[in-house]
Amino acid sequence: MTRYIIRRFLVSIPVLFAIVLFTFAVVHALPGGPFSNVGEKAMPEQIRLIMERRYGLDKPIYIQFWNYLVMLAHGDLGPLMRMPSQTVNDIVYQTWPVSIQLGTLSVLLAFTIGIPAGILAALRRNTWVDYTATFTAVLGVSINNIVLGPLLILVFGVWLKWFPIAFWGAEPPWILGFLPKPTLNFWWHAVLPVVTLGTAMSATIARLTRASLLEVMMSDYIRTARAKGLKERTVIIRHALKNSLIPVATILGPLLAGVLTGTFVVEQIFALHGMGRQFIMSIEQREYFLLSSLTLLYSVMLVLGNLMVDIMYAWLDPRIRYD
Amino acid sequence: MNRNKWIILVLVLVLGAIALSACSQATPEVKEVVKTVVVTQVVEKEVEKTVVVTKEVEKVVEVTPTPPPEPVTLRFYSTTDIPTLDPQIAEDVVSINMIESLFVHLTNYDLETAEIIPEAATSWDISDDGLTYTFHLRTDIPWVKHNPVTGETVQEKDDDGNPRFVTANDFVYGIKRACDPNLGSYYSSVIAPLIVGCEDVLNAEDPENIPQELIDAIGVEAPDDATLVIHLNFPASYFLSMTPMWTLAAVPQWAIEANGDKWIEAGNIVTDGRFVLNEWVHGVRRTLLRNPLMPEDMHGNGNVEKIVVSVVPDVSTGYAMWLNNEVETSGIPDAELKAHLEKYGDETVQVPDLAVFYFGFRETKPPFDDPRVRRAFSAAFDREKFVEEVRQGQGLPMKHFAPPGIFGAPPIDEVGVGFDPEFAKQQLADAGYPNCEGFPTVTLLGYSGQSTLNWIEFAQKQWQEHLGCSPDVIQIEQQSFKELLAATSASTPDEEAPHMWTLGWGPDYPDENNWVGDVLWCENPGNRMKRECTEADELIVKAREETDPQKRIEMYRQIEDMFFGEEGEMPMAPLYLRIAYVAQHSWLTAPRALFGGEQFYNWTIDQAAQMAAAGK
Amino acid sequence: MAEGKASMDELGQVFEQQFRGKPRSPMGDALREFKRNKVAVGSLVFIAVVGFLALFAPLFTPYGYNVQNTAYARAKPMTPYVITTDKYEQCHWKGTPLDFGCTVYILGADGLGRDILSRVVYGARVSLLVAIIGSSVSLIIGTFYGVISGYFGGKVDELMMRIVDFLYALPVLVIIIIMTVYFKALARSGATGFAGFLIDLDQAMGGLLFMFIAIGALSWLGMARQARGQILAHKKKEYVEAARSIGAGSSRIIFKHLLPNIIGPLLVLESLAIPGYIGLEAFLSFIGLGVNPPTPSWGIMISEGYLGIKSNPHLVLVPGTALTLLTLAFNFMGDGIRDAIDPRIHGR
Repeated sequence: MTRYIIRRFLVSIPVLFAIVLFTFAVVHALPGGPFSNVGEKAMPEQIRLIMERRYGLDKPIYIQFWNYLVMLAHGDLGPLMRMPSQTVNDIVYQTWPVSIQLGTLSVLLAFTIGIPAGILAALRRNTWVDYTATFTAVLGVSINNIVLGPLLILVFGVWLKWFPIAFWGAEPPWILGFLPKPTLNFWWHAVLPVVTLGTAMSATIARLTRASLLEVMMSDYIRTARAKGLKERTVIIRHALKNSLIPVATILGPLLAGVLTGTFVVEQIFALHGMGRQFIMSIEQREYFLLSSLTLLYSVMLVLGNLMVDIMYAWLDPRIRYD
Repeated sequence: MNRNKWIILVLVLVLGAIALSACSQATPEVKEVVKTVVVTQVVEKEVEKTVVVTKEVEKVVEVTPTPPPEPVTLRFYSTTDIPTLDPQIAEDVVSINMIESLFVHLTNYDLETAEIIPEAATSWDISDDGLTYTFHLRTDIPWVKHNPVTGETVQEKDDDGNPRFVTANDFVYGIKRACDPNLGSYYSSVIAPLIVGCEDVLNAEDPENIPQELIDAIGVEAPDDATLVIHLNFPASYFLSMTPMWTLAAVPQWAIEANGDKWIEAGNIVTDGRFVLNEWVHGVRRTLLRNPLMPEDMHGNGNVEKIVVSVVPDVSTGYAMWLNNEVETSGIPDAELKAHLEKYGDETVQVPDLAVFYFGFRETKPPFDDPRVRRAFSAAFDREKFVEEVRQGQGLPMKHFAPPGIFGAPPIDEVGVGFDPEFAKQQLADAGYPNCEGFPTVTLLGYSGQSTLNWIEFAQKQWQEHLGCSPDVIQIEQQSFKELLAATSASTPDEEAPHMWTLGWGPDYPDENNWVGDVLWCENPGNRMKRECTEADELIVKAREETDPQKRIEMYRQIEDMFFGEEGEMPMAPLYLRIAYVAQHSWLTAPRALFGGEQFYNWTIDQAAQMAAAGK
Repeated sequence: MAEGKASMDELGQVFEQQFRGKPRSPMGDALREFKRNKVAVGSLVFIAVVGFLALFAPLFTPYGYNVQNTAYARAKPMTPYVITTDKYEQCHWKGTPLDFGCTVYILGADGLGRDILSRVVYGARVSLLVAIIGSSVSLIIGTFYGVISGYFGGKVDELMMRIVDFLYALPVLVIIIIMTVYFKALARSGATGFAGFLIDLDQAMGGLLFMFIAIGALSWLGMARQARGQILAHKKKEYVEAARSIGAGSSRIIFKHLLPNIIGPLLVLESLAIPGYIGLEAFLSFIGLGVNPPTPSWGIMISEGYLGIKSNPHLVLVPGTALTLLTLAFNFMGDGIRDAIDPRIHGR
């Protein structure tokens, strides 16, 4: 197991290297640079050249890339070229916790709603409970964030005025570097964004739980358990439930990717100062270092997330062995 | 599957989430490597504790502190964070608005007339040859530093312990700093051609080692603390109208040298304006408070004591906040405008920002190398209809470039062809494309954002209607703003540049030279149309140095006609002058500035009405 | 789409005739199972109808997708308007029983006074094209790649799967965004040769081509893994051994024997992935990286509309409903296909 983890780590290094290289190359190939314009006006040539030299943009791309790697090795994610009083590290400190809080709360919401709903549907199979739950789940999977977000804003923000339609209720400094101060304001602001992002995930989890539980209920050992004369309740709780949740736990991997997509949209719609919005902005403004570093961070999170899921999978399911 | 595994699963989940965060957190904070290690250890031990944290939530919730009596608060938003608070670096309206409140400027614009009125300078003399400007400054404006934690504002002291006041030397430092190419400021290039020696520094061969002689040679001096003298290269009569610019503001040399790029952060920044920076949560919000140490007579006419500016990336959200009485004023999204005017007509003001929008033509790229084609495309665009229907009345049609309010601009309905379909058809036929027959495919480039998309689609229709050009002939493209600028830049080869594009120009100072001189002039580096120099350009140079105002007005009229008249070169098709509708609550009285930053110190709020609306 | 269903029915009949009384074939079983699933069949019909509407959009819409009437910008649904002769000339329905559609905005108008009904119907083209092309690209490349890898095994397999693992670890969305931005910028440059040809093609397709490339480039990974897994499971089976023993070549074994046996699960996987492609297109359009205007896409319509949702909810609700319904139908259909093909659920 340890060997497996180490190997996975080693494998991910070239992956991260390649992704940074790719991003770096592509953004530098885009027309225009960070200093090509000032608002709607063109930056005078001599000033542009000086500023580009300051950030090493006049050097050949491979040297720029090397310099960037050296910077990364020192834990410096790079400067912000158009906002020199700030660095990429500052931006990450401000925005990364927002995205992570949004994502984590959504995943938590998804599990707390998805699993019970899935279990209920499976146990009441082919009743109206099942049909309602199943249909709602498909609907939940089918409704896109870009539709659900505006819809929730319209109904709960504009018409009913129950929840705020914008902003995240927490801001730096963070507790332990990434946790929000859990004030009422925080939860109140979190409702709509988290529901927007969490709905599709809950639905996915509910569907998966239901299918998985149904499959387990048909397996031999459940039949054996029943044959032993155990109460149905005991059979379900002690034997069926636990095993049926193994595949559900592994959905975390794909969910991570989904959360990523979701945060882009949700941050946009709810005006959150999160990483996704910074990412899109950095492309527009050609903040090369910001863009490359954010891409790197996303990749690191994804690699770690997938690794975590694999480890968990191996742990939960004794049949799987990694060597 | 035993129970232990379940507990471990949960723990792994929590730990994983935390470890994830700890890892990434490590990256931003690696300035102190030791610290990172500690964090990781704590995290591992405190897995149980994090669960406890969530339990504490309920307790916190119950405590709602009673707010202290509110200062008169102005709340609004900007769509981006402030890129900088450094007066010499600031280039965008969001920063400039803040700087107007945080720093005093040499002079100011009168809100009504845009005339130049005293601010730091109480009076000024201009030498007879128009080359030397002498400003007499007041000496009672303190440099202050605000401590966001204690909320105290204290006056700065020099090394000998004497209180610091704004002196002519601070202005000299600021102006010389503005000539420094290493700041990377666009506005350096706006003032450099005027001030003696400034351009030599800006274009210094080795910008990293600018010789001290060059810096000393910049034509700015302070004979004493209360006198500032500026020497010009040529008798530019519009220089006075540039003196309220942020670029020429005084800045605290000692604070800049002590803190480098970070001198503008809350807690570091030393200011001399009517407000102080109390809080700057990057990307989220900033808060300004009245400067208690400002001389009484510079207080302004308003009663605002506190300014809260949120960052709201889109106007739609901002407008919703306005509807909820969370901000005093907001732009109105196009889609809401009609409903807004019906419902809140009395809470709407019209704010002109003097920005004029146009379609630029690449003069070197056929078929637009033919002036008749350019005239045809300009004259076939119904500006009235465009403003009325697409812009929903938010503007005025333009026939020439500079709008009213600019010194030297012709009256809005004079000079220029404007919309004339017959003329357009004739011109296109003369150019060899009767009814657009045989016209090659051309591209029209707009930038992202719905509004300009609407425009160019409208334009497509107009040219179909009035010129007979099928929409297939006009290819619409939409790019990000950066890409549009890159694609239209003078250095982009013709094959890669679009034939036409949409852009706007907002003035830096109220003079025609900022329009024809800084946009259309053939020698200007941003010559996107790739114009060849003509008589009009000679006249632009002449008008720049003319001292007789009457003669200048006449010259500019001539220039505008050479560009936009019936025989005009037509390097662009001016479309309209933007006059935005702005939602503004009735308790706010906000005289808007045409030039420079908004003067929040002249804004007044009826706090009782504001509180009542918020239900307090 | 409509033809697709008919031919599936025919196929079913052929199967039934051929195998009546004989052991049931997996395909025949699947079809029977699928036809029993009323929701899935209904969804298939719905998708077919949408496809039909989109294909023959001029017949089912009052106007073209770019006919403007700015005087009626953001008109509410069922708003009647005064129509000028030249506008009326452009109406697809003039002189038909549906003539009233020429003078009424049935589902309202957008910011340029364009008929939303028309734009939604035309917009279905983009979503369906993405569904079809996205899934075919992924199915073809993924199957091909996975089959080769799994069949030949050894070093080839090792290398090919390393590549897949590598690509799998990339944050797909981030890559797609960066690629799309790059393609959009590329489209601006006056490149010639093959790139120029692609750019022209993209222009002609309203910006769809580059989006397909961006979406297709990484979507085949899961398919490749699945195909390889299936091949590994099947290639040691008796019928493959038997075929090999009578001297069948590799390509014959792959195409005649292996593919028909493994295609079922691959189809299931692909049909479950379709809603993802539709969502991805909507997402890219929403953040301004989608098709070129004025080509209508539901994502673009929503991104234009959500800024004005407070007073003009229909600008979002109409394309939003369309997007949700189509995704819903594809989801139900995918579930139906899965239930029908996946043998584990059989015989319940």
